[in-house]
Amino acid sequence: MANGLVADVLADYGARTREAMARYLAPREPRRFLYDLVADYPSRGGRAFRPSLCIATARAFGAPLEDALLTAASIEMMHNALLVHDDIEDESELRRGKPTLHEQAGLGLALNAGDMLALVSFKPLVDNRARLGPRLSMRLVEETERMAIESAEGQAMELGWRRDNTRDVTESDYLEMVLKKTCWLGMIHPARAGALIGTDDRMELTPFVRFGFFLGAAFQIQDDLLNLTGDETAYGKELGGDIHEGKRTLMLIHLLEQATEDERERIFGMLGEPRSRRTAEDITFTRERMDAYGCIDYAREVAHGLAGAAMHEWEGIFAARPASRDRDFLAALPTWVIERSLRQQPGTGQRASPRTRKRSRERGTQWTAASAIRSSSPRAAWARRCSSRPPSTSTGSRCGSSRCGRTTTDCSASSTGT
Amino acid sequence: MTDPANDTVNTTEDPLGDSDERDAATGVRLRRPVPEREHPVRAAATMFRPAGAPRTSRAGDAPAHPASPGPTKGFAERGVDNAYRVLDEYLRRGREAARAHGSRSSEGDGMNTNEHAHDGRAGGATSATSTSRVPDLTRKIVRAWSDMLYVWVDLVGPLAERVVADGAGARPQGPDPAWAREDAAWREVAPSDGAGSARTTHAAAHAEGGAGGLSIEVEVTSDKPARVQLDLARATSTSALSVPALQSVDGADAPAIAGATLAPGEDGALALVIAVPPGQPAGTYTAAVFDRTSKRAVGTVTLTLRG
Repeated sequence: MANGLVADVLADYGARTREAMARYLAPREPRRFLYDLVADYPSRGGRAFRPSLCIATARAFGAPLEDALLTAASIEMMHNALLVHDDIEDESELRRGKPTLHEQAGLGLALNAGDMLALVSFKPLVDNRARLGPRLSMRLVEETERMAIESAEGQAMELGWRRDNTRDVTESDYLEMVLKKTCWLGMIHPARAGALIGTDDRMELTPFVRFGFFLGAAFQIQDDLLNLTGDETAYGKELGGDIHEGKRTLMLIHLLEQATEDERERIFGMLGEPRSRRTAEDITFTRERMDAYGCIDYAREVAHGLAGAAMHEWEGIFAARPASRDRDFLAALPTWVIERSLRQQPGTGQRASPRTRKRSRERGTQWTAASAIRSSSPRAAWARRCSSRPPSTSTGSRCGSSRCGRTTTDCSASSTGT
Repeated sequence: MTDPANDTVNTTEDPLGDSDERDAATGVRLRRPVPEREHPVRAAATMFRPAGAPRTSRAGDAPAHPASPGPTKGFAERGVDNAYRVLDEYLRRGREAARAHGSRSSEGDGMNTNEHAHDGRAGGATSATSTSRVPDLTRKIVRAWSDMLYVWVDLVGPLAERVVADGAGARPQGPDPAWAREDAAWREVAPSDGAGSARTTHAAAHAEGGAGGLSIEVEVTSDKPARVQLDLARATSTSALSVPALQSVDGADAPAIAGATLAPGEDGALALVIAVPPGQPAGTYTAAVFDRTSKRAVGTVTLTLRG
């Protein structure tokens, strides 16, 4: 039920946000080299989680939807702009089931389009002035600036670790990086912006940092888990890509804490290589060691715990608010971030283009490695496992397997305990 | 009513529990069972049942006490504890950064301050959920101070052309709808606090029109949000202007606002200074601007105080 509500709200507010964005992304010249590229990622769909969080928070505090619409559009455009840059920095090949923008258009044009999209994302904030007044509009600009700074700092942390092949990254370091890189843009900023709009800047905003942090950290860890255990078709990105990219995930950090010296050296050796020289064997080895040391279990449990903490923080903020669909939506989010693995989201679900798949095969790395992980790993059954029980729903729970859409009680895999 | 096995009472028939609770057969006073817990379960780490843990909602399942050890319970708790430590450290650094920038971080979190910038904003009115350690008055003062920094200047575009034209002694050629709207420079000033601290608000606008450009500075001291409109006639000399007391135009008995000045400042900018007495009623006040040399009215100043 919670997931149905979340899906409904995301669809509703996502559609409204896309309408608002369309005003700012209308086709114009030069289309081929700029504006078509600027509109590319936003047109691919996506869950519209961030703008929906902003709108729902504003409405939960009594604001009309229209008050939050431009801010929501700004958030979504900024998110997409950062995705363009992230994909370049991470050398990613797939985004929402299609080749990344720099794969399609080349590095230079993609970078420029990302810059343009980031700039365009500020226009709705300026336009807010007519509806929200100058002071509140300026506060939202400041909040956006704050978010952008935090996100850049978080991204710098992660990129720096990868560039230097840093060996002493701890779980605390990882959480701080997630707080900055993921949580500020994804959760904290939308919630704070919504609260600013809903209360006319009359509310202390720190609780939203707490709520957004735990929600976002649970989200990120779950996302990293999906990268290892999800279904590539539903996930929309290459499986095992995080290992291939050398990303410091909670599972990798836990593995490096548990592994033997020889294993650590091999993994750090792989991480120290350029991405193009990381082999399928290295990736498969790392993935299998994660299984052997229970890193997947560990991360899954931590994600569950953080989702619980998010629920706890939600109570402090929203429990006293009048009952509403928006309040219920916000309450359902901690559950949703854990369960969302199994949903094929709008705009995703498409496999990589033949060109990308062909090139990956030629490299002998990414897709081969991912396939190896799925087919030959002794714990490949993770992808079919139903152990990811939904955290707080007692009925209608979905099976944790990405290949299974049935409820846990109906799914034979869950009864086997595999 | 009585469960003979454990001497408990089924209270469903006596929801208020104020009847004489004695077993009719034995005469023994019945006692309620000791509750398993006396406080809500707030352990965030165990709020979501760990994967693989038994479901407690099913009949026949053993009750899962939050403290009962599970196969991976330690992971979640440890992870959440660590996350709280990271967050607290982050918030602490935010507070320190806010202090380092001269902000009043009496909220104790620094998260309502843009410590990367300057504002020192530390929250608005009392949150329905947060537990403030700061008296409400202090909160209002802090908020008012922060509001003062949000001065928005919106200079009507034609002013620059107008000033240039004035400097050249000629009106711009051709019809100009903007010109017809008068030369208006309005300044909207956020409220300042009413707690006796310095209550000066500045708004500075610069109309750069080339060699004949004119800069106008507006300084308003007010405990209410204020909007100022200055209208000046063409070819006005700025060297000898005066502004009498601003009178209320609302027909109320509001006292006049005296002491407004309009004169070039040290930097050459024309400075309009208005000090609104504390407690001045909301409303619209206006005064003519006089050129002391020609002894003619050359414009008006209109001040709107919002309640």
